[in-house]
Amino acid sequence: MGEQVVSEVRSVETTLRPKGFTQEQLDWVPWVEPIRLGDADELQKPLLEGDRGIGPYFRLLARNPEVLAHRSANDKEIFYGRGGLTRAERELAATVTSRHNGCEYCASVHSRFTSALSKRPNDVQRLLDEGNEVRIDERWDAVIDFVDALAANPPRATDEQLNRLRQLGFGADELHDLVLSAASFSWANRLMLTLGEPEVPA
Amino acid sequence: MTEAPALEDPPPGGRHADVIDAVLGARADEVRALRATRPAVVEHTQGVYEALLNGPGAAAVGRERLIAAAVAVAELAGAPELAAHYSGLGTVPAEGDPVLAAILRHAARVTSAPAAITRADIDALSAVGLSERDIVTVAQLIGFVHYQVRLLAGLTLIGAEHG
Repeated sequence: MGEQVVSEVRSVETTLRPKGFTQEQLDWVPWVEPIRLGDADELQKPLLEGDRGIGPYFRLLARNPEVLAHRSANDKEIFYGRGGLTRAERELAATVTSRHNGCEYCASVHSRFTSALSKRPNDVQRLLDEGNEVRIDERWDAVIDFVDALAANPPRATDEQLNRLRQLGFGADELHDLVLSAASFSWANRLMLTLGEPEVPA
Repeated sequence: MTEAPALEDPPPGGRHADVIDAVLGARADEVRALRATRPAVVEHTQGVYEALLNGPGAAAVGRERLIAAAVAVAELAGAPELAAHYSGLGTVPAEGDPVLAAILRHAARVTSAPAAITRADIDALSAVGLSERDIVTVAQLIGFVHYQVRLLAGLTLIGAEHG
């Protein structure tokens, strides 16, 4: 008998949808069939090493491996590249962009990173609860306002918002990293919001 | 890993012009040194563009359809110069193409209200004959143009401050 192939595509039960933005772990259920790890070819295998081969998201994106290879390398530099903006503020920008676009899954992952790196889980939770209108402190407010405006469609970030960051001591390299983080999540949010949906783990 | 294109001797400044430079035009010089601080981002941002439009996944969807979608997304995201770049690639999609119509309808919705997309929207793409790989390619194309729009807007603001 042939191997049973079970589809990973399904709809999430209403009772298992997240109730608002959370720092808790969520799952992500695809609406398009991912590849199975055992079926990955030589181009796909290196893109699915470690954790990336477990969940459905990267196995789905691996259907176009040429694009995913460059996308993953780009994101690695934007979020982990040496120098420039602190890791915590790169993750804050990812969280703010995800909050703007309404991506509960992305916001859950990157709010956890922001909390762990900044050691400010209560401030991060207020951002999730109240949205990008929240007021936290001078530095985070300036980041939130600029990133929220850049994430808007069309973007509406202003010279004034950038000058405020410069007056707070942000260098050009740090502003560049903020822009890259917001740009990266304007892309990532649209993948996760449109190729599947979040689910509260049972 | 995807191979990097073989480059001739780079010009002063260290590299050849990419799509971001081309769209920034005269403003590219103001942020050239800043962009050079993250060479991997420069390389792979261009790499995604090449893979999206010239890779095997593009041929499966139809390169002219992807370019038409990029024009539409850039326009809807308030980036006429980026839209002009894609228009300038010179491809002409067939008139009355139902696949293109479905892609454009989807792209507009993903642009303005991505959180409102449902499984039915994806099923509508399958219904016009797009494969799983095609749907991933279309999603990456739409997302990448939104990335480009924010990168261009941010670099323009940063560059103007130095001017």
